Amino acid sequence: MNKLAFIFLVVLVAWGCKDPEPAKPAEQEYQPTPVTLDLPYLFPKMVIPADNPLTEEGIALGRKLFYEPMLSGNGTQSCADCHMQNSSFTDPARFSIGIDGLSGKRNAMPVINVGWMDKLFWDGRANGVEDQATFPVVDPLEMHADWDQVVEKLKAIPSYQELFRKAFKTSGITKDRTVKAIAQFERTMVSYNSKTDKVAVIGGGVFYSDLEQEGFDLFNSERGDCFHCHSGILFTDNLFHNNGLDETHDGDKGLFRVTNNPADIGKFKTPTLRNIEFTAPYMHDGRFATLDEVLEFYATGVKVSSTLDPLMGHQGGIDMTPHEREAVKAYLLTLSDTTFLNNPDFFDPD
Amino acid sequence: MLKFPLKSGLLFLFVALLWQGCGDKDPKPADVQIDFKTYVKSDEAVQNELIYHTAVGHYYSLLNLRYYLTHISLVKDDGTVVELKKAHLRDIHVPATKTIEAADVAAGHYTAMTFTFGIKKAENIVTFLDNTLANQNMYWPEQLGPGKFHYMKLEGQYYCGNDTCTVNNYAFHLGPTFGADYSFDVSQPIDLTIDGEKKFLEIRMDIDQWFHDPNDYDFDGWGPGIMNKPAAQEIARANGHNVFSAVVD
Repeated sequence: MNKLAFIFLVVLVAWGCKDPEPAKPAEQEYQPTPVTLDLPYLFPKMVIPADNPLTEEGIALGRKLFYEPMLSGNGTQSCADCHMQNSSFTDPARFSIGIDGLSGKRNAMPVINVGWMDKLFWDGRANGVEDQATFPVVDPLEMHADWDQVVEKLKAIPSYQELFRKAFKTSGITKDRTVKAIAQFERTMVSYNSKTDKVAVIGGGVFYSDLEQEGFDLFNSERGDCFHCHSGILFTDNLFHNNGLDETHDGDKGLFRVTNNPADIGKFKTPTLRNIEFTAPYMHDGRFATLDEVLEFYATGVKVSSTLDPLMGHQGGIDMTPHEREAVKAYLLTLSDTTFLNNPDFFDPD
Repeated sequence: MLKFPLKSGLLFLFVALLWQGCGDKDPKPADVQIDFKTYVKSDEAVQNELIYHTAVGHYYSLLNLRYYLTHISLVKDDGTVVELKKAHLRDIHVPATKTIEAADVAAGHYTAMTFTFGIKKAENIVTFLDNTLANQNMYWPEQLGPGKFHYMKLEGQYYCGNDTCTVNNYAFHLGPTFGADYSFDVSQPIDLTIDGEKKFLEIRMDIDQWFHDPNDYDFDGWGPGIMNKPAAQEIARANGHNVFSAVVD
């Protein structure tokens, strides 16, 4: 009996000591190359999610996906169709037309300096850049797709498997990784090369013209009071305001749609003024075709309602003279950055 | 034979422990949490309600409030100053700004809490604060004088309380108008002993105090914006003397 037990023990030990089964060939691990954005010192620190650091491979994948029509239901429309580089990544049409020929009710927001935004869309319904990228794909008025189907379509393409493997150390393609890659690309879309940026460099030898300086001064005065909402180096406070476009808000209630707070009725996100020259039409519903119309509105057209922003304390407007409007317009045009419009890093990679 | 030494040992251990327990105990540092609360008179402020009343007869509401307190400190009874935070931006719409916590604050008896409302002139430069979006939103334009940041943005609506007027907006923005220093120091008595146990304090801003004592503030008279009005800034500074209080929970 004891002998038998001994033999059994020896067999067990031998079993335990035998070479382990050869492991399944593991996916070859690829280390993505970290990227640090080289930003001018006046720009605030960009807060990048810890689970989506910038890498060369992630940015390259995001760029390809940004121009990928397979993200739409019928394979005809990409992000870039409504966010065109020569329009500072917005749509020159008042309302973008989706794949089914339907139009939305808001003007597409420009994809510019979005890396600093924690609330996106005119009503702030997206919490961060990754979250923002999830919406248009499934919106029936836009790309009208289904994320599961989009992922399956991408999986069917070997080159995407390779790109995802390099970006995320796995060839597994998911919705989460798709929007993360797009977000990485969008965080690189920074505009910082306007005349105003050059004027800000002390000793840089670039100065405003007299008219631009006059506009700059009015912009930053209590009377003009543009600077409170279009504040800082990003020319937006990234907050939500009712700027007096309408007396009533029976149609689009803006931020209220997200918060359900009556105090938020008629509030919309402050857009950046960077590249304002190229982002017409203006306002959330694209009602103004030109900057002149915008300035006319702020001069004479501000309407009072219960949620009118306290910073819009000037009933009817600020009564700018035609010359003052020209001056403010001249200053606004110093925010144009054509290098952003022509940056080859943002071109369609294919 | 072993009995006696064992007894002696136990007795020695007991005495030693007793000695340790009865000896002088060094006071220990502790964490301190400060909550920033907004009041109107004796009650915590509610937002978006035209229910508050100024001495000149206006009803007003609170919509937005952002302000800096700098050099938030505790003062020991021997005069030692312990700074808890260099600068804090409180925004009533951002819950994360409601509380700050200082770790391992030195033990002792503290008799005052001190801070500066706003930012002193010498420090009101771009490098004083972290370059964050929230701080950029508090920028003070050079056209209104040197000094990089507002001290406070208090905004809301007001009206006269009857049908003879319409509701208007006010933007009570304080800062370094045309280079003057309208910040002011606050010192509030407290009775706080720190000895190992986490302590909780509150800094309360009573909005109502900005609008009276010694100067009755008239929204109509000063208009919607006061960043370019030194006299209004001076009134605010004078009224600020009893805007803040400190409470030990």
